[in-house]
Amino acid sequence: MVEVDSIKKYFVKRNGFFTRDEKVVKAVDGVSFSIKKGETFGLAGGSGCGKSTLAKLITGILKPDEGTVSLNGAVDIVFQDPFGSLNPRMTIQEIVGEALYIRGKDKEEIEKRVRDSLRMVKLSDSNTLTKYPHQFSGGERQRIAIARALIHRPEFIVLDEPVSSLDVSIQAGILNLLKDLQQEHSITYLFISHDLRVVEFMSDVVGIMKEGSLVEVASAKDIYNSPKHEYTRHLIASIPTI
Amino acid sequence: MDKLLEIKDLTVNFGEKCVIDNVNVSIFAGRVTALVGESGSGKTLTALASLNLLPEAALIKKGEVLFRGQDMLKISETEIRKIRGKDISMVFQEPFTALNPVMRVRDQIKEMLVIHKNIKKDELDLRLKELFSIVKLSEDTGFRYPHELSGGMCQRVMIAMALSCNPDILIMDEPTTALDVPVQKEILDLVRQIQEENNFGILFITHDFSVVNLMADDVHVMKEGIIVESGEKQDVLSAPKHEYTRHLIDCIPRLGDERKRFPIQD
Repeated sequence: MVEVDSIKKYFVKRNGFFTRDEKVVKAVDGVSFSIKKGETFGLAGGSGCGKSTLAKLITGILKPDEGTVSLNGAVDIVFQDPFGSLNPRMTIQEIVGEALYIRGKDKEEIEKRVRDSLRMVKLSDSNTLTKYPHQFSGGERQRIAIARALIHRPEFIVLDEPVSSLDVSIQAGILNLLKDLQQEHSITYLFISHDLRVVEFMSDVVGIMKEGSLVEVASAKDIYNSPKHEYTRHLIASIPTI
Repeated sequence: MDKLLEIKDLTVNFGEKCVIDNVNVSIFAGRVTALVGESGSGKTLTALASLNLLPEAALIKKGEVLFRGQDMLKISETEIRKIRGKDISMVFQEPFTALNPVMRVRDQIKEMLVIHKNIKKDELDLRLKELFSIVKLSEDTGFRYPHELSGGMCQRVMIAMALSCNPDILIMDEPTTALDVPVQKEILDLVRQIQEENNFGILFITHDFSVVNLMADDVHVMKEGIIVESGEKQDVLSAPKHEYTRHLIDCIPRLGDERKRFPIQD
């Protein structure tokens, strides 16, 4: 379904406005993995490890310097911050249906599909459509972002830290929803988070990323039961138990 | 136990709406009191009330906040300014927004010392050196600007600033929510270690029971302005009495979780 083959993305960073000192940041440095249809590949790592750059490379927002990404079918993305990712001046109907407006679909069809999408994320209150993002809570906004991603029925969705800015109780509801959607519509996920607990909960296969590279890839069970890489063990050790 | 601050029967309204309803919370020396609840439950407002920092729209209906025998809700603004930041200091959730972006971080910590303590220049430098070592940052870090630091480093700066005047009480409002899990652990371990050495009291605000388990001694669970359950951490975690407490604990993801879904309703 998804095949990522040794992709690289380097950024050049200048150390100050007037200097010519340049530093190359190897954001993604030769990453390969594949995801089977209907499965979830989880990507865990600390901030700055390159996981968001990888998400952008896979969705085509950025072009890789080297390597290839091959996808079978439509892809969409859900970002971390449900406050920043929804245009505050657009209604929910406009936000969720935007991709269809751009494709020139007629009004009735758009409204019907927007309603379908919102029903899928369990936001089916009849006046949701005419409201604006600020009228919703963080969890509801993330549901709206998911509804937007679902509008053209993608087979593959990249979820870039979709729950990190939410309360744990809201997070649990969103994770349940994502699992239900996957089961009903056999959607493939790339699930990205800094929280290994959440990644393990969501994923079939887990990749641990550090400084632009995947240091370990294993099934969710094995990552927890027999972590091989030192960094994986460090991540596990830092998790608060309960 | 040495009681440092006591919030007694506090009731606060926004217009007709009651946002804090008869809340009782105490902070003790050397202990961490956690206030747990979802966003909108009134936990941050309770913390702000203890510094008399409630927004203007808030109407205090009832109750008092006792610190050193005075009611924080009644003393003058001049008096309370001497307490805020010095005897009771606060660390906020977002270290990037809490720090001044155009000031080197060392100068921001220095500002606290200059405002609250009348100390000489060489003493000032010594104290700054000490503070950087307490939060385990190199002194060079002090000469950088917030945007040049990571979230964890910024939060260390915030903690250094909060500790600069040796407060009796540290209020921490979701101090690690914006941080990665590994950095979260580092910061929380650091705070507990500093607390052991200095014996101040902590009011810790969070929505995450796994953080409570790591940090707290006493726990108050708050929902819609009401404290629905209070107790020592072990008791609350091992035998939660209120349904809502159980719900919050159920929502915590665990490594090696056998559950396929979280046991909650939509």
